[in-house]
Amino acid sequence: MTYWTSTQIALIYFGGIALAILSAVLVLLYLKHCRRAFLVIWTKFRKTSIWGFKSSLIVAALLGALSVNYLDCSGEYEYLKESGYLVLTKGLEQIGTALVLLSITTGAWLLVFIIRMLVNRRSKSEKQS
Amino acid sequence: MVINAGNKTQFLLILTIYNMQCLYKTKLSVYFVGSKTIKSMEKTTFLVTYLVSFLVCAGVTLGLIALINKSLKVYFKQLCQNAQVADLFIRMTKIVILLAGLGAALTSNYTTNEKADWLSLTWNVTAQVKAALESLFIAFIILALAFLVLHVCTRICKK
Repeated sequence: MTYWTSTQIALIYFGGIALAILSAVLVLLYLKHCRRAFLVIWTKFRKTSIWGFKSSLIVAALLGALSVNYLDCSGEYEYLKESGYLVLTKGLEQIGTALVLLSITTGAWLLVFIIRMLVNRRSKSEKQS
Repeated sequence: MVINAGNKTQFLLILTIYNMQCLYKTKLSVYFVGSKTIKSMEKTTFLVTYLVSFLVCAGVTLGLIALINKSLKVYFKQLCQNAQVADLFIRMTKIVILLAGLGAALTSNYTTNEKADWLSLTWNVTAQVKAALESLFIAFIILALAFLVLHVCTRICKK
């Protein structure tokens, strides 16, 4: 039986966190092409909303990765040293949870953006009339 | 040590048992080596099965995104009346669906102990695919309801 050291477990843990943040950054990079759309939607509080959007995505990914607990009921991680498979599972769980939270946050922002756009349009039409 | 007839029989018996034990031990070790080989193969099987089922889940997610891509474009172009804003919304919707599918597909609780066999592996794969499909289903239902409500709201506002 091969035993895993604390360093190896720590590597998987911090690797999971790094990959979760990387996924949030990749999402932001994918949306970078639509920068002008943000300017169209947010006529007021532009900087605040854009930075709020970016930071909320990164925080969601980080929160998802940090929410996975490596300790057992007695607050120890000795069981992980005996099984490398469990450590890998925990790492995958970290990334999975981060992606799900990222998805929920992006969905919430999508609805906020659509509602904001509709409100903008209504105020414009009221001004014209 | 003097070995008489009775003792000779006992000695032979003990020798035979000892030889049998040796043989048994050898067989056990062979079996043990064999079991080790099987065990490592099983671990590879677990890994391959996990990867294949993850790829299937990712494929299903990408397939669903490709299926709704056209209708998403039509819906958002009608709703936004601005190509750039529509593009942003389409991209965000795709991200929501993709992350929901992949996030759930990554979560795995495979049983890899000595009792694990092909049936437990099948159940594990089913659980993984089920989690991905469940997540996709919830994402689709929420998005569909939200888009429907927004569509109705814009219609009422126009009137």
